[in-house]
Amino acid sequence: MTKTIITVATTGAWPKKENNPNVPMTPAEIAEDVYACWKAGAAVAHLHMRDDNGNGTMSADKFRETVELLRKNHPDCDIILNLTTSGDLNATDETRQLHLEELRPEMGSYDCGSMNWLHSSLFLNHPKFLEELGRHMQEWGVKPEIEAFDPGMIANAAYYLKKGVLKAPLHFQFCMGCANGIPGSMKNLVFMKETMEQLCPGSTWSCFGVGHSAMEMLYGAIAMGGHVRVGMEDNVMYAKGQLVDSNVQFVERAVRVSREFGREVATPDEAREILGLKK
Amino acid sequence: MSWGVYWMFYRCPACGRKFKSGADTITAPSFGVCPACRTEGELIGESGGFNPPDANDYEDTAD
Repeated sequence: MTKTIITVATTGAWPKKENNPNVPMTPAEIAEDVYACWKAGAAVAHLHMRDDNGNGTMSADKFRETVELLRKNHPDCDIILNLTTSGDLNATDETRQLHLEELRPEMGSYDCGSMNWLHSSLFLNHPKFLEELGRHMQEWGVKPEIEAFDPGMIANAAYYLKKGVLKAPLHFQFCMGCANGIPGSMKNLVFMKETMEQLCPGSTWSCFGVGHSAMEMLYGAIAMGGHVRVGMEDNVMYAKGQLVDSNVQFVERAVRVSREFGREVATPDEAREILGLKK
Repeated sequence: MSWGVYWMFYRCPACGRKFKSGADTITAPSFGVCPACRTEGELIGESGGFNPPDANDYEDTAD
């Protein structure tokens, strides 16, 4: 059986200390958290940054500081870095890409369509931006992680694949249970996987479920041969009524579930092999 | 980028209980219904910048 790639999404753009005091927010906190999660079994770290007020930011300075702290303090850590391109709804097309150009992470997120955001705003990914980002990612050697919040975004990825904006093999992150996106149920996860296999054959996939669907999506992905994402970006609760102590707690659970199912957990180098990354 | 659970916050007009339902459970029969007396709740606020000031006092009604 294919080994399971565990991605940890440490911080995200929304939770603050008032939601869970254990959310890593500063570059130092995030760097230490990534290291601890790597030791626990995470192969990929999906990173967002916060400004000094705790709000989501696409500041290249914050990304640089975090990556430098990780590399300087923990040179043994070979985790794959996946930097977001969607950490602030007010960011410009330019600031959403600047850190990729400078830091050249192995992966970056690619939100393959637009949608309403929290019933109150817009999460805009203009076709012009997506074309530019796809071409830049190829040029800079950054593998896109295609975040799909609904099946239409998978169809959009197939279009960009045909157009040469994206390059096969693609890697998808199915984002399940987000407001305005596809609800997190097994039926829907199967549909997302089958849509991907039909439209973008040969792709790999991972998923996460927000809130109450988190466990269903974790177990479902492992059973269906997918990879998983866990972390406080998506959930600040470990179980109903229980705040998570740390992202490590989430990673440890994913490792445990995967191994009990019979799938060993991928190291970063094994994940590179599965995802077709060049180290 | 994800943005956590979209909460809808309710107060029970019958017994005054504060509770919240996640939009990811919108098809559940318990959505928006008081867990104590089964009365349809009165919507007080919601995620996306409209949380009530005492949001932490609301009980998650999901099973």
